[in-house]
Order: sequence, then C-alpha cells, then structure tokens
Amino acid sequence: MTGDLADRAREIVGAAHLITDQAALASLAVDGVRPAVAAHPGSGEEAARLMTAAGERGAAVLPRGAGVHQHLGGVPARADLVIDTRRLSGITDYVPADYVVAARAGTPLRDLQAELGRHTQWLPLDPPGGGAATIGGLIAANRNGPRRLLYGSIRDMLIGIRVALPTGEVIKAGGKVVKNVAGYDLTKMFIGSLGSAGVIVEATFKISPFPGDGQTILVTVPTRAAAHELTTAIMRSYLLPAALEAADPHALRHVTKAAGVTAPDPNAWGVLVLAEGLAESRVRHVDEMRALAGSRGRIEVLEGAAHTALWRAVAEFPSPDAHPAGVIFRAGGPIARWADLASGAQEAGAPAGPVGVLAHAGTGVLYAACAAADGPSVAASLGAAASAAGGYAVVEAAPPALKPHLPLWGPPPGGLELMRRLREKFDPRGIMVPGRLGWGLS
Amino acid sequence: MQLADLRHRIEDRTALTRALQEVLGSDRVFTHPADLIAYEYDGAQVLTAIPDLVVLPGSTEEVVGVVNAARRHRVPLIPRGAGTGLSGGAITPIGGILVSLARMKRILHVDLDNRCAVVQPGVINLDVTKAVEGSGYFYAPDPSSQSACSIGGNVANNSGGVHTLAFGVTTNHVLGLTLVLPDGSVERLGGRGADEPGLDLTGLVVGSEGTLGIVTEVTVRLMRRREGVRTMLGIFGTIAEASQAVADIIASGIAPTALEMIDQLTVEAVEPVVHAGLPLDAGAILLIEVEGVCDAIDRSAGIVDEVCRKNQVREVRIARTEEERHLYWASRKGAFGAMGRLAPNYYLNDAVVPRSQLPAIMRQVMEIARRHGLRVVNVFHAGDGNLHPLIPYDAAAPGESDRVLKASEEMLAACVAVGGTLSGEHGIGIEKNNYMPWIFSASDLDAQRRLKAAFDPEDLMNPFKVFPTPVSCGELMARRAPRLAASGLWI
Ligand SMILES: Cc1cc2nc3c(=O)[nH]c(=O)nc-3n(C[C@H](O)[C@H](O)[C@H](O)COP(=O)(O)OP(=O)(O)OC[C@H]3O[C@@H](n4cnc5c(N)ncnc54)[C@H](O)[C@@H]3O)c2cc1C
Ligand SMILES: Cc1cc2nc3c(=O)[nH]c(=O)nc-3n(C[C@H](O)[C@H](O)[C@H](O)COP(=O)(O)OP(=O)(O)OC[C@H]3O[C@@H](n4cnc5c(N)ncnc54)[C@H](O)[C@@H]3O)c2cc1C
Repeated sequence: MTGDLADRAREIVGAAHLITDQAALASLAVDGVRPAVAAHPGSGEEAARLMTAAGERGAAVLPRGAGVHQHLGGVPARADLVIDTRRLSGITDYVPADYVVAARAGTPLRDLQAELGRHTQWLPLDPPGGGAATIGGLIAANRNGPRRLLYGSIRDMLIGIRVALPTGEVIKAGGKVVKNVAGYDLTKMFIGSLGSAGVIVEATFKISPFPGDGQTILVTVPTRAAAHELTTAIMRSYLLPAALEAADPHALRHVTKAAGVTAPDPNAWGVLVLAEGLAESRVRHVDEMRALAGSRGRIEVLEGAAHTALWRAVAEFPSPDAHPAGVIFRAGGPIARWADLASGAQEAGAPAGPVGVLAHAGTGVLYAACAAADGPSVAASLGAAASAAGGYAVVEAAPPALKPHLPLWGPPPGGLELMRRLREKFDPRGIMVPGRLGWGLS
Repeated sequence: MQLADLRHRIEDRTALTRALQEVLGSDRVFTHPADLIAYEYDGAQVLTAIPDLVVLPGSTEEVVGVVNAARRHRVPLIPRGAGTGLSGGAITPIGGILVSLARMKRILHVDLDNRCAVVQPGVINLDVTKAVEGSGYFYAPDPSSQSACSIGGNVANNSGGVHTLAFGVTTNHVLGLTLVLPDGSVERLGGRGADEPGLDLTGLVVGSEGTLGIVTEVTVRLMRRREGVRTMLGIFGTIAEASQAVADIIASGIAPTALEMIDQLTVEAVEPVVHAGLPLDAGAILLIEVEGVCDAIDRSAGIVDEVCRKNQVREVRIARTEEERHLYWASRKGAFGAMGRLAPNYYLNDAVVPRSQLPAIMRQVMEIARRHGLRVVNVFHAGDGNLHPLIPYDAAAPGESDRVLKASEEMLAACVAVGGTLSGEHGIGIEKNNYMPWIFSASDLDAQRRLKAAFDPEDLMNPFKVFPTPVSCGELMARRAPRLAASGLWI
C-alpha cells in the first residue's frame, strides 16, 4: 500500500533530501521502530505535500526535529515516513525593538538564543536538551524548565505559528504581536501535540531582555517535610525567585555532581533558589533566604560557573541520558502538593534502586527517575498519589520493551471525547504518530 | 442579504418557554419585550437586537437544562456575562436564547497555598481580587472594566488589562474550566497541574467568544502581591517622545508592570471628573508602574526616571500615597467613562502593532482622523503596542457615523499593514468578523472552523460571531444605537 511512497516523496523533496539508506534509517528509529523512509522538506508546502501523499496511501508519519528524544509517549505503531524539519531552519523575522522573533521550526534553540544574545535578549526558556532541540520539537513536546516560575512556559511565549496540516494545507495561527484575540487561539492545538496535529514549520515568540548573571542559594535540610516547609515559606514570602527546586538526596547528589559542586551531606534534601535580575533584588533574596533557612538547614551561595552548571544540570535532570535504561516520570498537581507526589514516588515499597525526585516546587511539576525494575511499582504509587492530589502522572521515558507494561499516560483527562473529535477534524485519516498519544488519541 | 432574512425562527415558542420554565421556574425565564429590551445591546452598542428569550440559570445543572431545551428546539444560545463587551459578542443578531450567567456569581473555593480559586462565571473580575487581597494575593488580569465585567466574559474574550505587560492576559491565568457543550454534555477541562498531558482544550476555549460552549466554572490562578510598588507619571510634550520612552523603558530590562499612554484630550475629559492634578497642556502622559521587592524599587524607579529624562520628559511625578496612586489610576481606568464629556457618542477602536511601529502608527491615526474631520483620543496599553484610538462623535449629526466607521476601518487597515492584528483584547464578535480575511487565508479560517465544528457541530453556540458572515459590516453598523454611554459607569 505504501509501496510508492518513497518515489512520491522523492518527487516532492528531491533525491538529495530523501533518506532510504537502511543504516541511516536505523539511526532514526524510535523505540526500536525503524522508519521506511525519511524526507527533509525545504518548505511548509513540501511538508504538506508529503503528508498528503502519506494520507493517500494510509502511511504513518512521524515529524522529527533534532530527534534528540523522540520517545515520549507510546511505541510508534508504524513509521512509514519521517518528516525531518532540519532544513527548515533560521530566523525569519527579528526586530529587536519589538521583542518578538520568528524562526523556522528546525532551528536549534541554541542558535536562536545565540542570535538573541547578541542583542542582550533571550527566549526565557531553559528546557531539557535546550541545546540541540529544535524550536518545533520544543513546542510539540511542550518542554519547560525550572525558570518557568518567573518567566512562564512555552505556552505563554508562543504568539504565532505556521503549520503544515495532515490534510495538506499550510496554515497560520496567531500573529506577530504580543496581544492578539483575533479568532481562536489555535496555537494551543500544537503545544504538546507530539507531532499529532501536523508539522510545525515556523514559530513566533515574544522574548525578553536577558537578565544577566544570577545567584544560587542552596539550602540543605534533613527531610522532605523540612524541604516542603521551606518551599512553602518561600512561596508565602515576597521573594520572586526565577526558579525554586526541591531535590531529594539522590537528585541533589546528581545535580551537584554534574555541576562539579562540593558534595552535600549524602542524606540531605536540597532547596534551590535562583535569584536573577537587579543586584539589589539578588542581595535581598540571599539575605532573606538566610533568615528563612535559619535553623532549618545549611545555606550556601553559588555564583559564576558553578551556579550556571548547577541550573543546566537541574534543567537536564529529566533527560534520559541522565538515567540510562531507567524510567522517568513527570507529575503535576496543585503547587503546594509536590511533597505528596514525591512521597508517592518514593514510597512504592521494596525498590531495587533509588528513586530520585526533583520538584519545580513553585510550579507543582515533579520529575522522578528510577531503575527499570521499579518502573511498574513507582508508576502505581505515584499515579495513586497524583490522583489523590487532583493531579496527573505520566511516563516520560522508559525502555521500549517496558512501555507496554506501564501506564504511560495515566487515567483519561476531562474532555477526551472532544480531543477525539479534534483529532478527527485535523487528521481524519489518522496518519500522524499512530500509537504515540495516550487514550487511543493517535 | 438582509439581517432580517437570517433571523432564526422559533417554531413552537410556547413549548420552548414551557420547557425552560420547567428548568428554571417562571421568574428566571423572560419573554416580555419590556424585560428583553435590557439585553438589546452590550458595551459596543454596535447593533441592537432583541433576544427571543432571556434565561438566568443558577447552576451548571440548570445550564444543562437550558441547553437541552434549546437543542430540542434547535434554537441558538448566546451566553452573556455583564454585557460590557466591546465587539457585540453578547447580543443576538439573529435572535435566540440569551443565557445570562449573572446569577452564577459565587466564589466557590479559594486555595492560597496552591494559588488558585474556583469561581462561577458571573463573578465580577474585581471581586476575585477583593476576596484574596487581605491575604496578600490578587487575580492579575485587570481590564479597565474590572469593577463590572465578569470572569466568564473575560475568559470568552481573553481579556487583557493594564498590568498585562508583566502578567499576561486571561489565558495565562486560567487553569481549568467547566464547559457545557451545545449537546448538553458537561466537560471538566484542565485543572490538574502544569503541562497536563493531552490537548490543551482550556487554552482553546479561552478567547473563543462564547462560540464553543457555556463556561460554568473557572479555576483561576492567583498571584502573590508584590512587596513594593511605585506608580509614576511621565509628563511629555508629545506622543512621539512618550512612545520612544516606552521603547527605551522596555529595553532597559526592568520589566515594568504597567506602561499606559494618556493623551491630551483624555486629560481634558478626565481631569474635571477625577481631579488628579494632571496638567491640561501635556501632549502625552505615561503612567508607569514598577513592582518588586522593596530593595529594588528605588533602583527600578531610578532607571525609569533616567529614561524619561533622556526623552525630554517635562516632569516625572511619583505617587507618594496610596490615595495619590488611586487617583493616577482613576485617570486611566476612568477615561472611557469620562468621554461622555467630549461628545454624545464615542467609537472605541482596538488594534495591536509591533511595538517599534507605535510612533509611526500614531501619526497615521491622527492623520486619518484629520482627513475625516474627526477628533481622536488616545488612551492605551503602550507597552504592548495595543492602541485604542477613540473617536468622540454625535450619531445624531447626519453622516457623522459613516465617517467614524470609515476612519476606524482605515486605522485598522493601517495597523494590519504594518504587521498588526485586528484586536488586542476586545474581540471580533460581530464588529470585525468580516475583516477576518484581512489577516487569515481561507485555509486559516477553515482550520478555525474545524475547531468550532468539533465543539459545536450544529452551530448553535453564539452564531454569527467571529467568522465572516453574508451580511456586510455596513449593514450591522448602520443600525448602531444612537445612545449615550452611561458616563462614569465603569470608573
Ligand atoms: C521523554 C522525554 C525526555 C526528554 N529528555 C531530554 C533529554 O534528555 N535531553 C534533551 O536534549 N531533551 C530532552 N527532552 C526534551 C525534548 O526532546 C526536546 O526538548 C525537544 O522535544 C527535542 O526537540 P527535537 O528537535 O529534538 O524534537 P524531536 O525529539 O525530534 O521531536 C519531539 C517531538 O516533537 C515532534 N516534532 C518535532 N518537530 C516537529 C515539528 N516541526 N512539527 C511537529 N511535530 C514535531 C516529534 O514528532 C516528537 O513527538 C525530552 C523529551 C522527552 C519527550
Ligand atoms: C469602559 C470599558 C473598559 C474596558 N476595558 C477593557 C480592558 O482594559 N481590557 C479588555 O480586555 N477589555 C476591556 N473592556 C471590554 C470588556 O469589559 C471585556 O471584554 C470583558 O471581558 C467582557 O466581560 P462581560 O462579562 O461584560 O462579558 P459580555 O460582554 O457579557 O460577553 C462578552 C463575550 O463573552 C461571552 N460570554 C460571557 N460569559 C460567558 C460564559 N459564561 N461562557 C461562554 N461565553 C461567555 C459572550 O457570549 C460574549 O461573546 C472594556 C469595556 C468597557 C465598557
């Protein structure tokens, strides 16, 4: 059925931009599923034509950016055509005075930040894999980092998008201005879509002045309860940290080691506060943190290279590379309930190895990582804790063989029927990322 | 095509009324023209249209009952909050059942440590902040109409406010929703935490102008009040100097929480009402607010002061007391209410341009007004590039309404031409739906229609809004009610 798809794809993108070599295709495998062919479109229109061709043949499509991490979600049911966006790269519109930038989807975040940095600006996003990841991939995977507490999430920054739809049209949503209520906010269709809604070809973001150097205030405390007490006190204070993390002893050792910072007490929890902005404000954060930490724990202030490396390590904590062959979970819920989620993850009973926990304690998102053998039991207890707190838990990464045995997506969300109808309207032939989304959505 | 030809016809009005009365009792179902007339127009006064019926449900279950009755009779549903909307979103151009959510005004739950509150859609925006400010929290989106408009209307219009520059618009502050769909089903969307898996339906519903369903509950984000705030007025000779100061303040990196422009005509209208002591001869006044920890406020304010001086500011005033700060803000938020002093009617425009285009577009706006022999008043969200040229006029003067419409259309076209958009916060409604093709291709609009069809396949929710219609803007606008805005109502 998909027999002549490669020929058709070659007509669309040209032989130089089609990959049919088996070894090259093997390197594009997702969860062990090797694509039949991969194409690098040179425009949104080409991407759209590729999907039309796939649709006519009932072929399954996997959009791909840098491909750093394709493995969120279920194991692909099929992979007939990979649409690789890396030829679609570069900034398309940037007037620094507007604090808005547009770039093609295949642009690596690193390249975008480098150009913005020349004007002391940045996209205030510090996601895992921030370097190589493409902006299209970041949007599709909805990746956010620790600094979201002060600067917001990708959802708050994306103001316009151009997308090639599975039905063959290239559309735009939103625009190039920071406030816009003309029509529906369709940008929201594509954030976190994991490739299901089409191939993102260009994105427009609102950006910010670069805040300059920051400081880390690291407080070590004896227990989870003490860490929770401290993060709660910080959230009730007038402090405005750029990020606020709580790390269990394993996660704390992991991030301090990655950053080359002196090892903390091996049994201590860590509360990490990131202060950025005006010097006066940073001094205040350090002073008040001293008072808040008080007798609760030991305080240390980091600057310069150690500070920078530490936040890089915090951002990368959810990366599969950080937990080889392990299982990584993301859970979210009411902000102050992070400690309940953490105890859910850590009280699974008789673990084969440690369960590391890092919580974005100011935004209620928590990452947990454990050995593959503990995956099912941690999934069950974290899932139960998340449900009890009114939150959710998902598996972000796991060895492919284990995936079918894990509740990757947790219980169905409200509005599932609406999501199904939307999927049907935008991808009527069901060709996009089959098997990847939860609850049968793709 | 004539609007009258498109009016929806209810086949069995008696049976429909009875069905609604079974759900709500007879005292919350209005059918008498004397009762209906109060719902004839909204803040836009773009068009008047009498609804066939008005209902006032008090709970999600009652909304479901209303929707089911409407569905059985295939009658359109038009949700309405406080009716302050400025694009005609809450009126019934082709008739139908107007569903007022005004009775649903309870704050159901406040959770400070988790920084959220669950409220019914009829809750007045300012009441959310009032409920939590004693504990040091607030609800960030603060439209100038905040003492009157409802959270449901804010959600539908994705409303912004004077602190949007720093805190964002409604969509950045809505965590979850309960939505009654036109098939009578109830969906609880979002609300389970950040980066929730699945499609972001909450984000799609915010800004959908009541065309996807009826919102019956909203989980909003609360923010911690900042420790210190400094409110300043930069008094400038010209709008151009003030505009440049706006650009330079943003570039300085201090992230002010508000940057609002007030021009000379506005001061003339508002000063006799508010008495804030604003100079009547200043070409433009910038209202600037910086917030943060107290330790950093002096420095931030110092940077603002420095930037203003570099741009030939005549004077920088700092609010010394809370009372003075309120006076400054009253001059800004009360501006529209005071316009009644300038003329019997006003037409308020809303458009956005890339921020660097602001000085140039202001010149064009003034030029367009001059060419049409009209005055124009400017009071707007300068930091966001969101302008609001307001044209005072007299609808009773022959031909004047037409000139106002023509000039407004030209201003909007000028904004679109420099990469701007049709509306920054007031919405499309029935005011601008026929301009949508200016910025969206047929495919873009088709994609939006797919979203609509997934939620509302039979087109029962708030029809005739957002998407282009077979009736020209001209016909809709020609029926504009020559009414005087209740001046001061929204101060
Ligand atoms: C489980 C998991 C763990 C992660 N851990 C790491 C990590 O350790 N290190 C790291 O660098 N990043 C990590 N990330 C973050 C994430 O992979 C990247 O930030 C980002 O998604 C990768 O961008 P990419 O260009 O490599 O996209 P890809 O990995 O190629 O694609 C990511 C997703 O987006 C879709 N997609 C990509 N481009 C487009 C497009 N233009 N239009 C539509 N859909 C598109 C893909 O189909 C896929 O679902 C992780 C993500 C996940 C899902
Ligand atoms: C003086 C004045 C100043 C203003 N200043 C601002 C400002 O600074 N920023 C700004 O953004 N706006 C401003 N507005 C516009 C207006 O106040 C906002 O759009 C507001 O959000 C409308 O709320 P409302 O409750 O009055 O809604 P309505 O006017 O009743 O309805 C507006 C839209 O919302 C829909 N709707 C209402 N409730 C629901 C519900 N429960 N479910 C589904 N749909 C619903 C309606 O169908 C309609 O489409 C101003 C208006 C005035 C008159």
